[in-house]
Amino acid sequence: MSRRPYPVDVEYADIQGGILTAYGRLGFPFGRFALVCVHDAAGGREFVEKLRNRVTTAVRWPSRKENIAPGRLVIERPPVTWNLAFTFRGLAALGVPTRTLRGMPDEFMDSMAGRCKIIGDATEENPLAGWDRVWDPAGRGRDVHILILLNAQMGEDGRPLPELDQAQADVAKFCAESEGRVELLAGHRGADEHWQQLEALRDSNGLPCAKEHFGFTDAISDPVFEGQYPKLQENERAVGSGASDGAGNWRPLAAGEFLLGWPDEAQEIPGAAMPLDFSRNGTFIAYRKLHQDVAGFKAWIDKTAAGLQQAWKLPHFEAARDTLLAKMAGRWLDGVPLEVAPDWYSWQTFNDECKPKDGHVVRDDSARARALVDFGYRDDRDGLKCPLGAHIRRSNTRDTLDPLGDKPKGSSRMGSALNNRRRILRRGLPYGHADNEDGEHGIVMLVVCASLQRQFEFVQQQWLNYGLDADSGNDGCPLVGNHPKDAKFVIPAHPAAAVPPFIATGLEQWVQTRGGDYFFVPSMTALRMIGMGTVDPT
Amino acid sequence: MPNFDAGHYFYTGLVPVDLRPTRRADNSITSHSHLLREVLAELPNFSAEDKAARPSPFSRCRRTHFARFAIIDDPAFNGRVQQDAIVAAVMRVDLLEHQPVDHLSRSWLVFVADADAADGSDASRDAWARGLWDVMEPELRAIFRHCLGFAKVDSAEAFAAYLAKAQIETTMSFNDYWIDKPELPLMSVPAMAAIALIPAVLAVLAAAYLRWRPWHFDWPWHWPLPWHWDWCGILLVLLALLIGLAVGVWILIRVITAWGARPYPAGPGSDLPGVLKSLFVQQQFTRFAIAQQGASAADLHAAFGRFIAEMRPEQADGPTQSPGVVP
Repeated sequence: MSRRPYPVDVEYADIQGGILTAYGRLGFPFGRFALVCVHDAAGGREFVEKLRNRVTTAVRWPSRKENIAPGRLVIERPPVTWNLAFTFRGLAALGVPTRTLRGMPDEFMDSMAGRCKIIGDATEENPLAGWDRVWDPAGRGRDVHILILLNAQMGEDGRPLPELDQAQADVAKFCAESEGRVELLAGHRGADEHWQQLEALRDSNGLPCAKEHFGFTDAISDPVFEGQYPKLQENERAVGSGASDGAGNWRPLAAGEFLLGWPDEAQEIPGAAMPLDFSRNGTFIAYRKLHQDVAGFKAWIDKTAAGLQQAWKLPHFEAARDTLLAKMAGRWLDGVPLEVAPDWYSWQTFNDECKPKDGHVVRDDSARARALVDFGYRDDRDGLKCPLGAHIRRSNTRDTLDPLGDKPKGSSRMGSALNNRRRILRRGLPYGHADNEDGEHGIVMLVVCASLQRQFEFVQQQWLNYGLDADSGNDGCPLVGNHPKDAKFVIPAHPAAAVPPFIATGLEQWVQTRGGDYFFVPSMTALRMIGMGTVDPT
Repeated sequence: MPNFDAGHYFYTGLVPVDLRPTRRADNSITSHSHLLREVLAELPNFSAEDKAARPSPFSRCRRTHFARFAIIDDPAFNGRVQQDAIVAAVMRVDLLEHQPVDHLSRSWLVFVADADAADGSDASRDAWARGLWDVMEPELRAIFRHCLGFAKVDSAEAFAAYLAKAQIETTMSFNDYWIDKPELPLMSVPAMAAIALIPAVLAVLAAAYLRWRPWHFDWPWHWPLPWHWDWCGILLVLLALLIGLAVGVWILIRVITAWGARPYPAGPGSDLPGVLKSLFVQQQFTRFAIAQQGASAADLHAAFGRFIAEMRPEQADGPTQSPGVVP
């Protein structure tokens, strides 16, 4: 793979925080998200100006875990991070000029509710009617203009640091001071109707961890792109998470897939809203509040795993349940990929090797971490290890779609070229507890990408809610896809196992959209222009 | 002959739209192209979202796979023909003088369809056209009555003749019913080289013979050069070589294009009834497989026997799905 002559040098202080790295990974397990409606452009800009200097950027803090040296100017890790994002209607309400607005992408203008048919949010099983009042286009959804994202560190008492309450109070105060020109919208389902409350799930020691409500370890595979990490680490971090050439080599993806104003995987800087410095270093997020029906999911798993145990003659129920979950996700509950450990025994063996055994460890932590991401599907074209319809194989197809994937290793392979234009950064945190009496729990997913239509919507529509590219007909993703009546999931069996393929049936709608919208996350430069009202597209 | 490929006739027709004003039923004035677009917009077509939608009238024809209408008003004008600025200056081209702009004489209705056919003959095309008339005459009348020359069409034969007159060659046909690659005749590289080189060899021999008669050879004493070694002879031989090569390559290209122009063989079961039957059996088999999960070998064997007896997979006219809908 040829080296690029001019490495990307991203100006971290110009990019909003939370894009390059998820706050959850940086020690911020709490989130509070609020929505603001701007009734008057000048009042809205005043509000933005009050918050602007508080906004957290991508500048790195000294870190215990991450081996990344801070710059010459050492920035203290803040107790609470602030970030701002805007809907299309929000930018219009703040007085951003028409000529800039018309340079925005169609899907951003349409809003998420406007694209509901494309992304599968308007089906019988997943209707718009299920949205929180604050998101519902028939409720306050049309008034969502500004998204305020607060993330907080955890205090020693296991609760968010008190600065979080103060930050929320400040937002409420600024809205009150505006005398009705800026309104903090109400209508989030949950404990506080003004603030979407989020919190990482806890492990058995009560510490925040990367689990989601169904029990899977989340956020393992996240794209790596140029400029995201220091140059010396870039290639190492790209292994398993960047672009693959089909021969086992990886490189970071082009920065333009995740930041506007940079060349992307098509080797061009795509058009964006003018002026250039308004779009550059900005990006888009799809905010998706996804409810998870944990009880229904677990009941179905228990019922179906019994069938799988019988069909595949598995030794005990736990093996069948774990296998079913792994085949649906493409990873075992602890994140070990099926491509590395295709059956229950090899999974146990893999984990045994990572523990001290006879005084030594076969695989240390870094070898384990690498095995979790550094794999492809070229040797599993029939999905005998990881079904083609499994969640991770659909959403990040790696080298599955290589048209020359059946050719021997060599220059003729194209690796992940088709996949590289469909990558998304996943941010966000879970909300609620699975044992909540009101049954409201799930995840707020923030999908970050330079083109919502090409990246997020494509993955959602073609890969998660449809099965053609996964050789699965109409079958959607068994975990998060839409499941109409008669939904099914086919699990191929290895011929050597002498058992038939297993068809899981009666999949229910375990994940339902509760609301969301498309937001523009401006760079600090663009945020200043918006706040000062000096966006000049001429 | 891309009009016919893989067992399917690909029809493309351009029909001139009537430019004269016309009246609606309520006597208001409008244009034929307006009414034509209205008819086409209201042609029934299956929609998975609209349960009340009726299937396309083309689904009544058990030979037509796909059909499409479009109206072309005019080609797009891309601006002046580009010319190098220096050349234009030297040639004293007046950039203010408008270049001619291409136009169509009128709006044209494009009709494309692909249908099962035994061969690419006109008779096959006409038989399909007559079949269309038999099953959807009212719809065809409603569409084509806005086109020139249709007033005289009053029978299936006349409609077939009308389509024949409007036909232009389909230059890019596409269908994809082969699951595996069919056995195709291959031409070996030595054979292609032979075709390309034989004329050159013959020409060189002939030129050498004409220049240096064999009785002038003082062979073997002056082998390999002939006795009368001369530049004129060498040039003649070289010229013969070039002409021979050109002829050989031309013949090779003709042979290859002739091979390439042969229609691709029809895929097994790729006629419309066969395709519908395949879709039907595929769906039913999925349901069968789900229903039989965990069954004993004996039960599965018996159930599969019943399934085959009921489905009759080999008989396209047995149980099957309706055309024009997604069940």
